[in-house]
Amino acid sequence: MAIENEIRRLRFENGEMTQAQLAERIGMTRQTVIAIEQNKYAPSLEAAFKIADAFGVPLEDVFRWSKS
Amino acid sequence: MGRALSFRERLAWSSFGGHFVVFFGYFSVIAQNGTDGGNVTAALLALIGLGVLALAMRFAGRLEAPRTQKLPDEREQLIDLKAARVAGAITACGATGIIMLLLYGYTGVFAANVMLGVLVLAQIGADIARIAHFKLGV
Repeated sequence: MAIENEIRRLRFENGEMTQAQLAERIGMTRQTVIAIEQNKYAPSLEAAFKIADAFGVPLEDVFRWSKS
Repeated sequence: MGRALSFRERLAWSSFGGHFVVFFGYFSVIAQNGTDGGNVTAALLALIGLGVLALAMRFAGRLEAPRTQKLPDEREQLIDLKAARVAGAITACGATGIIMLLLYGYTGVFAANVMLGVLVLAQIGADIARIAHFKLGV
């Protein structure tokens, strides 16, 4: 998967937010948050914006495109 | 990191197990007795009864869904679409096979049983695809 993310780090920097709490905020299941975190699923643009919004950071601080 | 199964992943496992058990029983009776005789009627009635029971359990399962999982999220919808594609491919292959069977003179009852088998196989294939996507990613 060419899209990498900083969700795990951002969760811990935001009061050790749990995967379940993040899932609740973005309206997804905890398993989907786990899949996104582990780069097993690339979220839609809407979901990506919701995740960035949950952390209060711009999209590029959460997701980045890796050419490798 | 280990993880608990999601509600819909559990549904996929129960659907897979349910279909496998119910239809394995039915088709083993058919394989042993052919498509006529009292055992087949009993198997058909048992099949219908178990089918109704499976539907009721599925409905009850949906009612029991956690509040946050009443509707599938985007990843689960994508997994459902991919599973439906697998089921569609199996059904298309099966339908072609059934046409060939009828052209070669097999009876309608036999073809109907093969069609039922194909539909079950399609459902089981879709369940396996669903479980694989839940485990390995989309």
